[in-house]
Amino acid sequence: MHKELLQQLAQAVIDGNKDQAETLTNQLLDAGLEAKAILDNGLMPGMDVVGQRFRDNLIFVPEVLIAARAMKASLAILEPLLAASNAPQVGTVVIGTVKGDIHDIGKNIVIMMLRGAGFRVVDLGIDTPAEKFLQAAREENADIVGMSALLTTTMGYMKTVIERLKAEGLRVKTMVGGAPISPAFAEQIGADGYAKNAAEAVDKAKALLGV
Amino acid sequence: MPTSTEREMPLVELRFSANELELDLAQVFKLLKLPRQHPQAEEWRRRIAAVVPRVRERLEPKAQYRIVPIEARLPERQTVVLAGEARFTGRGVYRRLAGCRHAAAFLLTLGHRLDSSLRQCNQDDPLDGYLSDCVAAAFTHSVLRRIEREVRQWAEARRLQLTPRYSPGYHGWPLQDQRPLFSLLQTETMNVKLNDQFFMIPQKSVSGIWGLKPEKA
Repeated sequence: MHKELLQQLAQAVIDGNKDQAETLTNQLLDAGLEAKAILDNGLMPGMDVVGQRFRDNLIFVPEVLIAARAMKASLAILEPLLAASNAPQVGTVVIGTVKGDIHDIGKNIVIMMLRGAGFRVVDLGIDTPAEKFLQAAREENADIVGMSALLTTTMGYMKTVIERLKAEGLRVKTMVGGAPISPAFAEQIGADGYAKNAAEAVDKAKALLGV
Repeated sequence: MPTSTEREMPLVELRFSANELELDLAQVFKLLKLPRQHPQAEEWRRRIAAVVPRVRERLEPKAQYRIVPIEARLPERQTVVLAGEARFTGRGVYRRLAGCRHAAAFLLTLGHRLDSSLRQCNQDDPLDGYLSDCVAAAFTHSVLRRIEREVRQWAEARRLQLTPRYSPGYHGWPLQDQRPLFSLLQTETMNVKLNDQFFMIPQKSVSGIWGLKPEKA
């Protein structure tokens, strides 16, 4: 029975059916399934399919957002239970749009996809100075610091953040993304990872943590 | 160089009511990166239509432009001097204004009220936020078309043609040149400011130029 409901939950996420996702999440909890099992075996497989379809250009950003909305509704029910149970998470990502840049749509999509993949994500918002990245990385015990920038004039600040993280001796992986960013630029500034879209960001984050 | 009668045009301010701005649905699809032949195109049209009134009621559209003479080109610095007061520097802007006698500098904004609403929308529901953002961007294009129409009329009366629109921050034109661009306009009446990184606040604002060069014979 669990298996069938979990499959239905995955499908509800794929279809972007928010109400159905909420209902199935509650049904699964009522049936005695742990929140972590619902996340791992219902939500994450659903978002995996969404990510794959996005990578294959079968669906587009607005459709990813619909799926993410369904996932978010289910996660809102599960998150307090996950926090209370101290269940292990895939990893913690601290993420923000770098200082001087006020664009956040791309970053927000990445956050939703990461959460759907089981990451704990701390959103630092926009116009984020290096100090804030450093502080959050320390306080949240982050595994990854993610940075987003939309323009060539702000992407250079990513290097400042990476240098500060290294100078402070923080053992954290760094990932960058955004319209003007290229793999070559990521390498040049010493980032550990680059992703060209939200689906790739999830793959890259998992690869960096070896999960 | 321009003759004295062609030299200057006073600053032109345009005011619009939110309801008079047209929305180009095809443009919204393009901004959303949704193919026009999407299998659920009708459903997307419905979703877009649902957010349009909320965006429209927060619009405070304003625009201004000024056509100024190009007074000098300094090849060694890749700099163009306009109206004796503004200098645009960079390979991109230097090349794009090649052969131009004038440039039309413009600024438009949809206002502060929309900005805060979009931010809130993004927090509440990213899908709604994304749709609203793309609808707002399509409204900026609507204002742009109005400015372009007026500038084109001015240009055509003088047998000049417009180059493609160009903005600081794009294709090799440093964003820092927002400062000299703003100096050609009266940005205080628009209530648009630049932050330390030369981004415009409110965010749904567009600045840039068209070059005006003689029509080909």
